[in-house]
Amino acid sequence: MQEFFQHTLNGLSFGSVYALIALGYTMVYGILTMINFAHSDIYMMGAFGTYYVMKYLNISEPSPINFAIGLMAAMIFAGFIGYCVEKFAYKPLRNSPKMNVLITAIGVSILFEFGGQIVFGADPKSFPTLLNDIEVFRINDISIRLIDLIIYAVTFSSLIGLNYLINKTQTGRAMRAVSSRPDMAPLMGINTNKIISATFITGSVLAGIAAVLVAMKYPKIDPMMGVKIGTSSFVAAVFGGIGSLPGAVVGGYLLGLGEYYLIGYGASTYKEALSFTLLILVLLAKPTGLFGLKTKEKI
Amino acid sequence: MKRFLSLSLTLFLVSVFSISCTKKKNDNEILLGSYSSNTGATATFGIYQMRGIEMAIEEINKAGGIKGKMIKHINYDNKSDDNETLSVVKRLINQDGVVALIGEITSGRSKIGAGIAQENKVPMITPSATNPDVTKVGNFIFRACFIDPFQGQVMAKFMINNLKMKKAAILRDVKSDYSVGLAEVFKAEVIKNGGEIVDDIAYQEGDVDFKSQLTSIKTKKPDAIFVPGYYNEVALIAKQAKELGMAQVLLGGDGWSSPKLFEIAKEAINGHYFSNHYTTESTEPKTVEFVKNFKAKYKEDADVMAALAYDATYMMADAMKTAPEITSDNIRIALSQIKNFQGVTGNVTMNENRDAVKNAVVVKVDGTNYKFITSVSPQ
Amino acid sequence: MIKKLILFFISFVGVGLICQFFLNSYIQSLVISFLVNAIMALSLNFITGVANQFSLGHAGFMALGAYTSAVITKEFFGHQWFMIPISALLGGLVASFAGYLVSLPSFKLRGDYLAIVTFGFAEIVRVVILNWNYVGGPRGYSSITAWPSFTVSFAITGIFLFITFLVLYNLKISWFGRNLWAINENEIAAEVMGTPIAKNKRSAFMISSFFAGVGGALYAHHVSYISPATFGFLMSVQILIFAVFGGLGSMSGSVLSAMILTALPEVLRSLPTGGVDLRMIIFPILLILVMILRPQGLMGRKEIFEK
Repeated sequence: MQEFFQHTLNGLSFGSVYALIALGYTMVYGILTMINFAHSDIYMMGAFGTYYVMKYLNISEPSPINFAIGLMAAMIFAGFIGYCVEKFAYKPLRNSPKMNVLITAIGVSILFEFGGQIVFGADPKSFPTLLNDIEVFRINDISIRLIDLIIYAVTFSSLIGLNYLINKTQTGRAMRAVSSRPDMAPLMGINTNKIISATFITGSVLAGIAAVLVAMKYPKIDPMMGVKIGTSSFVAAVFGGIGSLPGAVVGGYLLGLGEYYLIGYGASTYKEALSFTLLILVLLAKPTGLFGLKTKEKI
Repeated sequence: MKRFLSLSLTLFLVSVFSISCTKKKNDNEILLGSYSSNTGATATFGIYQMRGIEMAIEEINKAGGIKGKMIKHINYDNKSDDNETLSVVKRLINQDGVVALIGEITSGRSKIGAGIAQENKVPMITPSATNPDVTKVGNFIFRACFIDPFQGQVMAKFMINNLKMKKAAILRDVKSDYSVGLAEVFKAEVIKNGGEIVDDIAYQEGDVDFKSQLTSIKTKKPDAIFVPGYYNEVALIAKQAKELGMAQVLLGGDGWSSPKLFEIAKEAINGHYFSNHYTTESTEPKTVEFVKNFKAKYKEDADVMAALAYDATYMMADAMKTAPEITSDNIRIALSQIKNFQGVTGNVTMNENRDAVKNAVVVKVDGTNYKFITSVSPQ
Repeated sequence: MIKKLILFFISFVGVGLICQFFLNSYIQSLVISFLVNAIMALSLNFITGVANQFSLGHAGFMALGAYTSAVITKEFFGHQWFMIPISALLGGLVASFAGYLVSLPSFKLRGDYLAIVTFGFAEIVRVVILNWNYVGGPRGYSSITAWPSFTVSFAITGIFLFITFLVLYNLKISWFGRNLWAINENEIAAEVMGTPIAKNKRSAFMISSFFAGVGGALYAHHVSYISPATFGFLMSVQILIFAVFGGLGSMSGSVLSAMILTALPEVLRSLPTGGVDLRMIIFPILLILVMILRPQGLMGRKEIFEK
């Protein structure tokens, strides 16, 4: 029973990470109906941004201030990269068929991965300790640690924050307008370009935050770090209903739990197959995912 | 227009091919080829392998080359890809006309390269592939490191005889045949010596979270955990084991050997043991020199891949020196006759299977130092 | 048409002879790689270019064909090279069956989702093979039956390419191809016109995956060692790049693009790049540029011999 509880905790903890990254995927898809394959690589760039900033500033002592600096660095760097990717690679394709955009996104993703290997070096780097991962409390033999709590907190506040942004603010309304009728939105006085950039930057900033939190928990970073985690988060987003914010979070947690039970009970090497099998099953039953909205195709 | 385009393209390609066909042979050079994964999944190891070779060749050339001729090193990146490996090895042998080959990191790709090398009768030495099958490909294939069966035995015996522990769990990297090979041998050896394997779980190279596997192992209460993987994952495993409050000692193989191990794991990795080719405490002048020069040249600490590649290159060079004439077959014969070669990674003799017979040392991790515990020689 | 065919066939044989006698083993190997890549590109082009069903998982079909064929030739056909064509066809059949399975959910799924499902399928295949010790698991499957000589390899692989091209081209210009194009352009209108959508999509998938499987089988016998790592996402992307660069919908474009893109990395290798292979930098940049500047690729939907 103890074991089950520990597995559950592990699953929730990792699931939070998936949820956080899935939020980014879902946001971009929700507003722009495009799968940003490069999201996981923007995540990676956020981590490296912080790594190099910390190195340059020669900071290595854990403290809340350094944590804040690190977080800022990742957010700014990731947001900036996200903005550039959108501007140079996706914007020219705004009116192109979906497939072209998808292919370009794949191209960008691979470029970042292999380019990162060449520019940053392919070897794993040790991420500086920004905060001491202290044990906050203990239940029986199970320890609950600070960084996990921070990750939960960030995930939930992101969900609430994004929800507020999209549903209760002017910008959010503009985003929804661009999402449902990109051709009509400019007629309503909405600067489509700005909104799209804003969406991308928001998603990328989230990825940057996720990257720092993950790098603090697993202090090893390398240019390929986004690949596996990105794929799983993406599956979680689709599985939860891509375009739906709560869907992304629920999807992330469910996937995290599922994977961890699988690993804990012996079949760890089938982990990747699990995420996709689940995905295919869900899509068969409900083609738009768990919380996905049914869109009527108009003739 | 289109016809013209495609026709001119075809012509271009044909001309490219015909130009690249004719290569001038420089008689004052010895062409030594190497193939490594400088990008892609195992890039971290491939780059160190390439550097080890580069540094060795630079030193050899500075010291006058071989019989007065300079070695020209041709290295191709195989992007951690099998098809690429096929391509680059063929290119090295057929297009560039190398007289010998050094490569590769993984047993899988080494086997591919070995197949082509054997077919073309070009001697090849792999610095770090540990699967016994690689040298079985043929008599032109050699190895500079010990093989899985030996290393697995070393740690099993160490656990039972030195640490006096009987119950072990295994946490293996299912994606790496190195890890799987070691795990299997360790398992068999422990059982043979009266021990017990209480749990045998896998992870995959690239994973970052091992808490589930570790939790499962924790409930089975082993004395020690054998983690025959690479340092990238081992570092995180050690850290997470500590976080879970696990007191078991961790045991591993030479895949642990890298300065990054401590860098990433910090104190969590202290007190654990692994088998290696050398210890940092080694006062062997060659080892000390090598570590110093590598750091100076590449601004980073050497790891076991670099050290093995360095030794493999020197072994190749020695074979070339002993050979009456620098031809592929002569080099093969000279390589097979290597006895008591003093390298950075120890004293090497080539056995009749063309595998390196050398001692393994079991070391204990203490910060960035590997403290010598015991040395094991193969029977 | 027949005259063109004969001309083509003769030049093909001619090229083969030139390669045999004037080029070294390295370039010969490249030629075979080109042939295999062309088959793969053609198969992907058919489903993604002609039928507009985005498949991101062709590496999965390739893996199935490769492993099936490799195991059958080695274990069941006594390691004889002349059984390779047969086992390749068997590999194709297995892959085709998988294609059928993949096509089942495709009816309900739109472009993006289909891409994800195909991607997922390829990953599942890879993970299953990774765990299957009979075929070597992570260690891969080695000592696959090889061709006795370049000429044989060139001839038989060439014939397969030839057949693939003919079949797919003729399908493209047939009523079946037109149906697919109609579905492609406007699915609802096509349905109204009476085109059986699900059946056509399914058939397209099965045909495409059949050839992908055959391509995979020929690949396996060419490199004589395969492992799950070979058939990852990167392989699917690579084939996609070949198809896109040539022009989605153009069969001859795929062949041409396979020729150029197989040769390109080798040409680049001669350039000094400090020890790292820039192929995975250049290919994606090429892909992005093509998508932005000339999304129809080299040939668009047209064939090289069309006006």
